[in-house]
Amino acid sequence: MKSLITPLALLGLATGSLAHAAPDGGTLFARNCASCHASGPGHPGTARLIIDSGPDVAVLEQRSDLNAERVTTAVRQGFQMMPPFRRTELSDAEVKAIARWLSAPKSKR
Amino acid sequence: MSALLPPGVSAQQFAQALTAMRAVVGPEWVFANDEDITAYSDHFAFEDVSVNLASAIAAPLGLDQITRIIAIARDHQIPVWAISTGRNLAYGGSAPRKHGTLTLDLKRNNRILEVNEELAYAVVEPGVSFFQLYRHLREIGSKLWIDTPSPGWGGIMGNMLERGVGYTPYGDRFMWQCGMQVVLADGTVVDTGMAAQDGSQTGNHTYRYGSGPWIDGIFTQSNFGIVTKVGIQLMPEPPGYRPFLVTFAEDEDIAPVSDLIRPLKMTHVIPNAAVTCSLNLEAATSLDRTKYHVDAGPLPEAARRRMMADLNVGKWNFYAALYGPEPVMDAHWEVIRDSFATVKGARFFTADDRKGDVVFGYRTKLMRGEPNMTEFGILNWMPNGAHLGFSPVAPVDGKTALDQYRLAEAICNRHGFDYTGMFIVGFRAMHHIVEPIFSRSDEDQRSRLITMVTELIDEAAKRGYGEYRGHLSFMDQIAGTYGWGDNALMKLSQRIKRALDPTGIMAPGKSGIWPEKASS
Repeated sequence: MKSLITPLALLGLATGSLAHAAPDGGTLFARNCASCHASGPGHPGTARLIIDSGPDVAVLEQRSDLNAERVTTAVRQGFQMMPPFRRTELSDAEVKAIARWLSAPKSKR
Repeated sequence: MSALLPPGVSAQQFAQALTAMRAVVGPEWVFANDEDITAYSDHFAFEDVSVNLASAIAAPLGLDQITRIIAIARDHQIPVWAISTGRNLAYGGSAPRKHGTLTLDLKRNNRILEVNEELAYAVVEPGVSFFQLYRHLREIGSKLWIDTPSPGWGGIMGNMLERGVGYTPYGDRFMWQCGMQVVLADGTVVDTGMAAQDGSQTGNHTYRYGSGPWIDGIFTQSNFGIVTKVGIQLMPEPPGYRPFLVTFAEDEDIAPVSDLIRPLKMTHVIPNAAVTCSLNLEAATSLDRTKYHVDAGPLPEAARRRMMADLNVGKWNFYAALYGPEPVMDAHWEVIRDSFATVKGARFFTADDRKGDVVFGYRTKLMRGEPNMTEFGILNWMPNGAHLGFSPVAPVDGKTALDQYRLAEAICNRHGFDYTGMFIVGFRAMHHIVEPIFSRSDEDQRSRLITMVTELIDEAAKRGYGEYRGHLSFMDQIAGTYGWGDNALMKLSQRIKRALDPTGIMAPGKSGIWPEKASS
């Protein structure tokens, strides 16, 4: 029978902050946005956009009509049921990276 | 800069205080412009957001900065409202109770200070989210599980201090709190439990009581101090896991179902914080309301029956899981099946039966502590959706469960809202979470919501039901329902408040506890 506790040599493992220097926009999107905005069922932001605007524009990372300013406004001010993300949650540089990534021509991904 | 001032503080005093705070945290971590202040308001507000705005925000990093900011606030008599990650949606978000309070945003303090695999606990700072700890454990190859609420983006510490619950066997999350560090209004830093010993390094997060009075509980849902780190015990990955669903066809079934759950929970045959969900909670997550009912007002019975058929669910839907070695799960499953089969129309589903089912999928994740955001999708029940929480407690007792459900349903329907709710089952009590969904852009709905929740709280109290937690706007009313003995409990809280925070700078009004000089 499998042990109830699988011991690992991690006793007292100390870890540092996870808020390191800003990674790329795609990684930031995956960490901060994808749980609501990824493709497929079970993602509330995607589901909302399907209802409001149809499936063709529901998945943010597949869209080609987003510009950085629009993304930044939605992140900082919130959009409908989505609350704003504050500077302590995402720095200006991180929001900029996400906005740039979402608004980049899709062929460059 | 915002024109809003903390109560009783002059513009000059406030400007001086903010200058001093900028010198502590750096100018980029004090926010006083309108856009930033609005970002700290209650995004799900049903009242005008301008009644609960922060005057400014300071975001210190580390214990030294936190204590120095508190000292400045104390010197200038500026009330502060601490937030960890600032979600708390449905209960007021990150907004302060008192207009003009300065918000202390602790989100930058986001270190996971320790993970102890052998003794199964972690120590976290206020800014650590459920997603963050979960990812960290997977990244280091840990076999420990966390417990998470249905939206996983919130903070572990903040949710624990609000006594929020989850869905694994560690679902009563504060039960697994062990050790905390608190900053008091006078700047004193207290490590509780075993950590109060000089040089204590072992056992700080395995035995929480230490010696003498155990005080950690008074820092939950209170304004007696600011918690700056907390220990949380974690569940070792079990050798087996089997989520399941039992559906029940009729509204009245909540009574026998709750009675059947009681012995199964008290004997740990069902080990987790299981949940009995209403039809509307299931539907709101995955259906478009307009396809069933386009008119104002609650869904008619015929529409509810259609939703049941389309989703292949019941009026009530009980999600639970088995954990452990296969023979143990086999044995427990027989007991559970035999129990619920006594309810006419009960249907049983395993993971194999519900492949591709969005709701079963996210419940499967929640009951093994995997954070996700799927339940946030209930807000899609209407455009620009939001919800609030009315959350009375009930013993695990069928008669009470049915009475609470009927009461909440009748009042919700009379005010034009669908009943959307669930009973999260602890060992002897249930959190009955009623989540009326409304449109943020519908002024009439928002107005009706205030009247409705006021009535819900009063009518519940008349029957002896009290809430486990409340929205900012109803904290005074809820506190008033716990008024036995000439408000003896509140008077005790106020005596503690005066002793620990004599000038009343810590979160005035939290849970109805006001400093002497302030009022709602």
